[in-house]
Amino acid sequence: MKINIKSNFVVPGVEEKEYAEFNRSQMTLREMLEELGRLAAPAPIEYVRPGARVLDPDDWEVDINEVPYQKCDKALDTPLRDGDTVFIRILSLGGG
Amino acid sequence: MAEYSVVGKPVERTDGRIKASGSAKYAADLIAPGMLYGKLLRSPLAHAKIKNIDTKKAKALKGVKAVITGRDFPGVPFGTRPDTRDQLAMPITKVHHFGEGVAAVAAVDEDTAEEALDLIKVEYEELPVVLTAEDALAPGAPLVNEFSKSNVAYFSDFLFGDIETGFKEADYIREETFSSQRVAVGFIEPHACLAEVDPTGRVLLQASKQSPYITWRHMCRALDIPVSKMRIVNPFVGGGFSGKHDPFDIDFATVKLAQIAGRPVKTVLNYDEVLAAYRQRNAMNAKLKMGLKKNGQITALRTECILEGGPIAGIGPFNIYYFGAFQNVPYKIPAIEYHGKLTYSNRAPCGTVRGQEIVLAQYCLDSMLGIVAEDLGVDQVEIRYINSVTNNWKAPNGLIVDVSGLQECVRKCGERIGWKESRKSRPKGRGIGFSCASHPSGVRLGGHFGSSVMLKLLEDGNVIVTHGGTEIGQGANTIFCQMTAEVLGIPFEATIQGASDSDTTIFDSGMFGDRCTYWTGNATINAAKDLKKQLAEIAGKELKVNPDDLEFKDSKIFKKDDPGVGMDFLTAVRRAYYEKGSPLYGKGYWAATDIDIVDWKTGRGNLAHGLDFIATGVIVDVDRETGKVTLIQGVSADDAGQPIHPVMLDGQVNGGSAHMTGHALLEDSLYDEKGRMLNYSWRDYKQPTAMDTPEYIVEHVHTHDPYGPFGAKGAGEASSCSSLAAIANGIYDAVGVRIKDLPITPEKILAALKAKAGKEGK
Repeated sequence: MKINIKSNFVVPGVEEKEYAEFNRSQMTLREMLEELGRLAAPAPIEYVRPGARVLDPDDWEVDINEVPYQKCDKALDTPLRDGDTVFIRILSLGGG
Repeated sequence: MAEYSVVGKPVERTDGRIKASGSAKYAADLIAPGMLYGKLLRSPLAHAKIKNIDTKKAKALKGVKAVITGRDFPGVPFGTRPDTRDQLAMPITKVHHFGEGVAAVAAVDEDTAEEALDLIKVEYEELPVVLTAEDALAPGAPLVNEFSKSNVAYFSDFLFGDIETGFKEADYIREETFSSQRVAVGFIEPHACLAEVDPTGRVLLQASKQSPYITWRHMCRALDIPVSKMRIVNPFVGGGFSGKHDPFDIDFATVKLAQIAGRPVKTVLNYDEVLAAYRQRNAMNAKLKMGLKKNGQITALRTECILEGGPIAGIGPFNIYYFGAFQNVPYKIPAIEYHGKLTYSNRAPCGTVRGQEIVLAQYCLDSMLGIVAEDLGVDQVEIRYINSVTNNWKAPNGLIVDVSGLQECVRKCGERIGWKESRKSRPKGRGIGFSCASHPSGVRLGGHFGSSVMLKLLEDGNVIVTHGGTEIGQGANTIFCQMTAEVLGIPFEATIQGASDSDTTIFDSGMFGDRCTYWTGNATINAAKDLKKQLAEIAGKELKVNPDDLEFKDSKIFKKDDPGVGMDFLTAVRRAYYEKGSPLYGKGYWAATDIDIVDWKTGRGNLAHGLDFIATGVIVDVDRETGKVTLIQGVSADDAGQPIHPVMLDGQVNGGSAHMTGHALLEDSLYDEKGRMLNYSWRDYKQPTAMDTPEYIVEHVHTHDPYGPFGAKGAGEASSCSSLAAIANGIYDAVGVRIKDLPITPEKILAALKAKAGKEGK
């Protein structure tokens, strides 16, 4: 399935394109983020802490089709459909 | 122009007398009952595996209460962004730079702690070092950071506007390279902290911090504790200049030692340690290509920038971002292509220094402008005037300039420094150089980025101002007291600065980017308005006047069109406390939610309000025999909107200029081939003193920022951004040689003069 990826940072693994393709017919947001993180190998990104029920609000804000994931019925375990758009916003802590 | 009672007046600083008399308590002055003294053991190598650390003998020494290494921490990495978490509290498997703390001791006195350090045996396996960006990017280069599989710590590629058309439309194109050295940050007070742990395990850290919020969050992550388990209090801070945002090994070690020893621990660094092992400004190599019309109007700019940043990414992503995104000001450049890269190395970790890497970008840009102006035969003042951004300018990346006084700044600077007259006659070896700059008043980062202020009105009519900013010497405490007094119509002396304490203060996201006056200032105004509303309701009820019709002035509350109907401010306060039992707290917050969150990927968007502008001119004398540069006079025409405290504003503008004098002419962090720093003492590391700085003159160009508190903008960083190129351009004007690699030392000038004379056959 193909998921459109929007972001405010260069997403490792999908640097040159605005989508990611996954070799499976269905997946949840959590699964998609885990796979996306692995696409960044050899330095994988941890979008979801193992076993976490929510994303760390200090790290990421994520929308599914412009709806914050927390407002979706199953939050991180919301099923994604082919063609859905996931917006990942990176948050930072620091400045000069 | 609005008339104010307190704002815009040079009131006495809230901390002036305390600091001048030496009675201010900094972190090193703090004492707690039963306190131990902490010391850090530092790596003599720049890059090595840690094979073993034997602490047995140190632990057995009488008077030693705790010894720790990196293995005493949870091993959770932290970093500015979730994708750049590449630092540990203390190293576990390898050291990354000379002077990195590898172990720490707490003992009953400093001598015992020092003695214990000598008893710790560290077994290293030396690794090849990466010293420069070139080393880092070489094929097969050793990897510096164990959390990264590459020596590229971060990169950005931005494209704004139609770059091909921009160069096609140019009448003249020039390419140049520029480089800049590593420099120290330059605050006065070395890093110091006192850590205590209460019986519940809650940590209290009192430390010299510029951005306690950043320290707090990073530390809790790396210690794997919730933020509620740590309280952080800021004592007086002896300067920050971007060198005290992050937690360091000293902070982590001191907390861990206190946890293990069960007693308070204080650690105070000496300045040699600070110079050798703590934050510096990135070394830079940049290549610029600029296209212009015959009249000097810029049509396109292409920039490649590589920053070498030490073994961590730190705030390097911001440095790369700022370098590229803020090339959209202060000049109207219709098309910009930017490629920025941050590399790891085995030198001391970089953060940044006042002005962030806009300082380096502007050095390149305005040096280039000096070069092309001469090539095209366009006057140096004129080329800056015609390219200056103006009100409501929308830059190609989407940044909107709300208010710009830059053209007026350029004109005033040129006049005041006597540019036109100097072209007719000037002493031999004398020159004048110019540069402009702009700096935003804070950007929107996402996450916690707003500001909040709490006011407590005491029953004697005085107000305690507790704000989320940090007083690091810039005068934040004073101006928020001024703003509070102005809104409430009370004297400045009736305001008191509250403590900076995470238990009672909602900390700002950090003190950086000229954001404090602007963001926390707006929050202060909102807090004072909240308090004013409460008092107006009390007074209005008694006076039988609509609260909206009441005015607050000269410590009185009265009907706007009938001053005879009113009461003393203090009477209203007493009514609240004595008759109603009502507490009087004013609460205010502010965030620029209408600007765009930083887009790291594209650098696009309306990134900031409150762009402050500056035009700087410097008169220099260059001795052709010795190459010595003497700065004669510096003139800065500055648009910081409404000055809140004109004397402190002058100090900020001049301070930024003086600070960069060292970067331009003197300072350089030197390393040997094994990555050991060579000049980590004040004897060998040359920072400017008052003897090195010229007479400074500030001309305020008074504008009104529509979003700023009382129309003010941020201040203090733009002048550091404009100073390097002004000095470099002045030296060229004086003796006709262009030094493009900082610092501009007498040796480089003499070599260039000799080469020039050779070319001219003299």
